[in-house]
Amino acid sequence: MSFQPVKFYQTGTFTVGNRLLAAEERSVQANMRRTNSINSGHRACQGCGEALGARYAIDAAMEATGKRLIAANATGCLEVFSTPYPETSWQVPWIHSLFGNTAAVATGIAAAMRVKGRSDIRVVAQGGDGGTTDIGFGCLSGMFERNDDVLYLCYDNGAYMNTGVQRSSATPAAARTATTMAVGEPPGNVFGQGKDLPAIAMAHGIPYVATATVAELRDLEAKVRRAMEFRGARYLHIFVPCPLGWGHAAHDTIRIARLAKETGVFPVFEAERGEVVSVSKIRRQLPVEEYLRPQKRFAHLFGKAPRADLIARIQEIADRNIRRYGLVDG
Amino acid sequence: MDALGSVSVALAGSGGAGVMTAGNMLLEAASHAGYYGLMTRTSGPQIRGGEAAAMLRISTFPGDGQDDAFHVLAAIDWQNVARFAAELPLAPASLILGDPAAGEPPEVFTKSGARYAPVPLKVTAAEIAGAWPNMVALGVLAGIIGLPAASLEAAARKAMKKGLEPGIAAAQRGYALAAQLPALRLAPPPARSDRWLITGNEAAGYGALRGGVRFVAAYPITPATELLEYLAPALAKVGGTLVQAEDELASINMALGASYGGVPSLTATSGPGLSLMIESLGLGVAAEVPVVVVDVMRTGPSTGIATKSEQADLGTALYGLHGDAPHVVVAPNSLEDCLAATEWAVGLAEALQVPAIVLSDQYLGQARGVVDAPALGSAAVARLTAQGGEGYRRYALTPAGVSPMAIPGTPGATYTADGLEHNERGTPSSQASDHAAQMDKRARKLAQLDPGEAWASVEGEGDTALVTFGSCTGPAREALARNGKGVKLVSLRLLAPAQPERLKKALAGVKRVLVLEQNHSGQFLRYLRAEYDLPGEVKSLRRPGPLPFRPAEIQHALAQWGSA
Repeated sequence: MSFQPVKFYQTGTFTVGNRLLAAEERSVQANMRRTNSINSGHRACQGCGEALGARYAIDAAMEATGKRLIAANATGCLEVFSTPYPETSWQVPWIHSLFGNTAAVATGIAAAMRVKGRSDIRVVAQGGDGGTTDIGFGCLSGMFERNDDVLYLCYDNGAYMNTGVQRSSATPAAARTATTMAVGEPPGNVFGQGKDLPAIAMAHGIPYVATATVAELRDLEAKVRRAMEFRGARYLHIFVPCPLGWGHAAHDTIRIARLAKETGVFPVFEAERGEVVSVSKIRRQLPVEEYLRPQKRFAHLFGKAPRADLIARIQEIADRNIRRYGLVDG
Repeated sequence: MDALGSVSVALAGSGGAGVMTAGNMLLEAASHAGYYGLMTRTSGPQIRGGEAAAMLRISTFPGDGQDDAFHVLAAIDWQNVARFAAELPLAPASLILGDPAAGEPPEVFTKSGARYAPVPLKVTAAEIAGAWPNMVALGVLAGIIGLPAASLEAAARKAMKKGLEPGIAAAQRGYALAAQLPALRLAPPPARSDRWLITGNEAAGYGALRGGVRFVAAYPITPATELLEYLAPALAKVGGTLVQAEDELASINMALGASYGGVPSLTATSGPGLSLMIESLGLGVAAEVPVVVVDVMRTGPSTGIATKSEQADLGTALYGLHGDAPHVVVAPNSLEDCLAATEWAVGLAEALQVPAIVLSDQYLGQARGVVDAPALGSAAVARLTAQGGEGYRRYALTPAGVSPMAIPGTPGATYTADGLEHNERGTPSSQASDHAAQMDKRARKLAQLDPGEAWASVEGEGDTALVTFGSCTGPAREALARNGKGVKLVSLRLLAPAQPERLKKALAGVKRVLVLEQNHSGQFLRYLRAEYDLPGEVKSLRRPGPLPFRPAEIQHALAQWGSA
């Protein structure tokens, strides 16, 4: 009797890590011998997108570098929840820089490795959107311009969460924070779109820029691996929902991240030397309401006086992303 | 046993257990019942999770210091509360309350000799749909203290939006449970008076508004963020504006720009942010642009302990600026003084056209207290502005040192404001004579400042002096109120420019000086040594944050001296 081996590929799903795959095809997290570089027991909130994204990103970077990795970390949620007195989750050499200077500290570490003839040891810098797009922007742009050999990981949850949800320059249009009223009334936010840092990074012409969400963790791992194939400055912008600051259910983190991608609110793509080289297509396009409605930070758009005008403007932003990056076929 | 003048209770638990919510309601209830009160808080650095404790003192007298020990420590759970043991001192007569479901209290608490009484918080809460253990604990504490049930209910109704009825029911169950526990005999409340329930950060924000500040640039930093969050809507009500900046460099320079444009301006930060702002404060000094920075100090250096208090930015505030840069440093010495000191600082900055730093700290800033209605200053101080005309000289060498400032757009008074050294017109100059003349001018305006009685709080009489500043003043006052015969308290409020003649007068006849401060290296002592002549024997009582001084420690230090 002939025997036909069965392969349990789960094509068309978002499933992470299938242990029935050949070993080299498995996700890093599916590997029993993954490094667990940010181990459990930290103090992130339930459903924290940043904790999830960082675990996948750092373990993937550890694997890609053969465990020769040094991490710098800006002040922020990740730094605070991973180092609760008197413990730490970090199983890699890790330095807490200050708030605005992670890129520069990482540059210094990379320079030291070069001086010591140990360019095999790679460096990642990490920050939240506040530490990256606001206070750390100058140092980051300098790191890009000099093309320093650092992978910068930005975990974007769209506000200063650890100090109590104040707006950052990555806060999206119409999102309510502790320091911004609903759009339009002083001292509210102008109807911005947040600082588009991936595009700014691309404008520096650095070797590799990519975006990812925690809804597609294999994609995130693949991008970290790809980033480590380059020398020079690399930037990975990871979309990480925050149940506390966004006001969605803790079990909806992945769903919200997926909705951001499927509505076009957050384009997922890769770029090399300033040119987009691949995009993650939208599988089933949805209107932005689907993304906005489950989040309390947008509740004022759906209140007694629904703001169809503002929702339409957010839809325009999503539509522009779809056009600009070709997120929908046809 | 005599009735107590004050009772101190701490409510601890892991983050999310609702200890701060319950603590705030207990403070409200005490206020409703006619008592004074103070709630300070301790927590880890994270926004959610970790461990937390609300520390309350309910009293028949005003004050913002903590007592020597807590009468009651109540814990909703014991998970990591032991980490705070140093901040939660107990005495043999103290009472430990804990949920039997949460296990025994840690040894670090029971070794004090305090009695442990289990209270079924969780089980009691579980009997009421929608109720939480923190409300039961609130009721137990209110019952032990003897606050009226009506005050408890009023506080809950004021504070709770959701789950009000189950919350009140749980608090009432807790209140009833207290009948089986040893009661604290708190003396009856004092006569009613006009009081406020306010935090130091809110008081500072209100002081800024009263002082005339209409532009605030903000960048989030613990523990100053609440000040900015208070000011955002408050400014809007008075026609002002708050802009959130991308970092501290931007926020201080926005404030400088707004002030140059003619609007009194302020920003608030903590140590790391102050360090970033220093270069721009130098610009404010040189270009004579008024601006106020409220530094809500936390432990340093670097990120330090971001949620806890220390008086260790003193050296930076006084001497951190580059060049010879005369400026103003004011330190509030009580929770309610955060209002007056900030208002005063705004007035000084505007009147003298200099940067002013307000040295508050986490203890004062985040403490919430029932205080006597603060004394309110008179009308906001107006900046001396120029009306224009021929031959306008922005930096004219006036006898007072202050020269009329033309707001941009004043006809005939266009000038260059410059951090480069300049002549009287503001034109950059590298001549020695211009430098000397402008340095003299900038020093002169501060040297001529007459702060009146506001320079310090001088209380009591004696040949021993207790010299301090800021949040150390509360426990110092209490120590002397208990047994302060022969001891004079001098709490400096105006730290720069220094007032050597006034301190000399205040210390006339003093033979011994005890210098009290909360930092490791004795920055205040070094400052006093540098700027003043201290009479007689000088001793230092200091330690770094975050543990606040307690009155008995100060009494002890003074008493040791007495016997020496």
